[in-house]
Amino acid sequence: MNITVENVSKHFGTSKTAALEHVNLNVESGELVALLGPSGSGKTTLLRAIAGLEAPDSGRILFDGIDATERAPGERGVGFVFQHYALFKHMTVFENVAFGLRVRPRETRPSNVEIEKRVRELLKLVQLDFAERRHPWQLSGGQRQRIALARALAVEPNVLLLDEPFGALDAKVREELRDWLRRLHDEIHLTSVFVTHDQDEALEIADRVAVFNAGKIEQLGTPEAVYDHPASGFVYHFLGRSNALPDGLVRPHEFHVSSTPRPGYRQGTLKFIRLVGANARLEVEGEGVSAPIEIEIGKGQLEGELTPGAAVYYQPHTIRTFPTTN
Amino acid sequence: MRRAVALPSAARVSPLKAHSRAEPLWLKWSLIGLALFFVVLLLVLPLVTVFYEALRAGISRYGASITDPDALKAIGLTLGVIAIAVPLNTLFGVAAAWLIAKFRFPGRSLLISLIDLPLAVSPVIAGLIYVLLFGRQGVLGLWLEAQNIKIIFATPGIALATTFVTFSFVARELIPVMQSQGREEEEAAVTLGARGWQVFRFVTLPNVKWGLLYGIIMCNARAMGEFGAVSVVSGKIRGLTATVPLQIEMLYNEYNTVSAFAIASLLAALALVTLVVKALLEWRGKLEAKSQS
Repeated sequence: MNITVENVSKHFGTSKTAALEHVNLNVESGELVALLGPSGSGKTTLLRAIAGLEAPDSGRILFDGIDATERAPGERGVGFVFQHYALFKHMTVFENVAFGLRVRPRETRPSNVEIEKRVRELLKLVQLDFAERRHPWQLSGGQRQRIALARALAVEPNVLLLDEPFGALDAKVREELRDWLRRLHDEIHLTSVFVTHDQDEALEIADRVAVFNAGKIEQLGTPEAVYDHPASGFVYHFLGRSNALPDGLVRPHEFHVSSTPRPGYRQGTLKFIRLVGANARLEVEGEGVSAPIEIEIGKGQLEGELTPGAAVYYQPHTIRTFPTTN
Repeated sequence: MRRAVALPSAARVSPLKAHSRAEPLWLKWSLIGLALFFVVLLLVLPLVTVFYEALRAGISRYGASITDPDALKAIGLTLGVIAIAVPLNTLFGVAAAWLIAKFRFPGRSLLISLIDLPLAVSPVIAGLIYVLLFGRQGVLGLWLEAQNIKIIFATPGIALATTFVTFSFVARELIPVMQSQGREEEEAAVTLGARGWQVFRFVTLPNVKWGLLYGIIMCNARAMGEFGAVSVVSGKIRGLTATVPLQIEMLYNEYNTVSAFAIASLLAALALVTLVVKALLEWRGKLEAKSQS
């Protein structure tokens, strides 16, 4: 299903700053879109507005071109996955997944046999078929989130919405689940929107990324596009570490480094060097630069001997400038 | 669980020694003694006295006191009043707690204050307010009389006063429980297609069931024992508008100690049952909270 967000605005309480300000977004059918931004930038508010959990002050939300702004959450055909799982604590895993089918009106409610079949299928899909009689508290964080996903999929939604789905998990589980979600999406091609503040997560699994800043979408594009051609200083900053040089912004890996003077190279003092795996991380104090410059290059590209405290020569090979850098 | 890790030497002392280091033994025992003294004096002795006085004249006299027609009437009236006040306050308490815990709306803090009001107002004053409002000389008195509705010196007034006094118990018990629950589970239920009452029935209610039962038990106990407000509005017509506590007072004032204590023993027994149920509920609730954390 195609989702269109049309000029949506939302204020909370009496606060002057808008949670969402005239936001427009189009999610194509079968696409996986990431809403990326710092906390408080409005990305979760937009996701909740799409789900119907938040009513926009103005603007429209359309599903397949049909206005759904006034539709109740349960009538939108969306599956929602919460950051903290929001599983029903007093129900077994099985009952959690079955919930969406059990609360249907009698006319559309599947029979118990069908419900059982469907729940078992989903539990198999999320690889937790062994846990159907357990309660949520008997599962790990990653398992809980998979149950939450199975529960959301049980109602056969047209759209899957995920609010920081991996935010409460530790790094390893997070990565596993991230890959798994991408593979699942490739298999079932369900239109999906997920919120994250982790740029790696967004860049790695999304088809397109919408970068949020202060209630607005600052840039929308493929991961390559937003990373390689950031539309603003904010996007550039947010998508990775960066150094502010007098003539523009540079990423840590966009430098040449040498221990001897070379034409076009600038002079600095090496503060610190550390070898991490195949890379070397340098901190250099440069002329006319307030903060230490972070440089990261392959070990093989180090020319000559570098010792902390000694002079070092560096040259940025890609410098980006933006009209206004925030 | 005990761990087989060596403790630092300072901690490896006998339990008794560890205590004696913190405070002198005489202080510990005199504090415990003092606490026990007051518990016995203020709680245990009166309770024993109630049963002792009730049974002093023999079991047959005890039975006769309880099965006295007026006593039975009083018990019936109290049960009837509870049957009105407790369900009303349960309904109100659940609704108010749900509103306060889950929503932000204008007048929310006013509602919170109103819920606490019956605890702050003396029950006698509460009774008087109803008399001034619904009594013959009251604001609505003449109109009520014209409609042939009797509230003061009748069961409706007693039920009303009892409801007022026990207004807060369920709501106050539920608000913190519901607040700690948050909105997420309910939102999840909504996105899964559950309608309002289904969300309440299948998600909200099961999550607060122990708190709710606890609140109802406390509300019930308070409603049975209510004296002040009820004594003002009832008019104390024996066999008609006398509840159990009022009946006890009247018997006592007539120097009918045995009968007074016999009926009082019923309330005392109920208090004990309430305590046991309350302890059980707390234990269950804690057990569940522990297993879910």
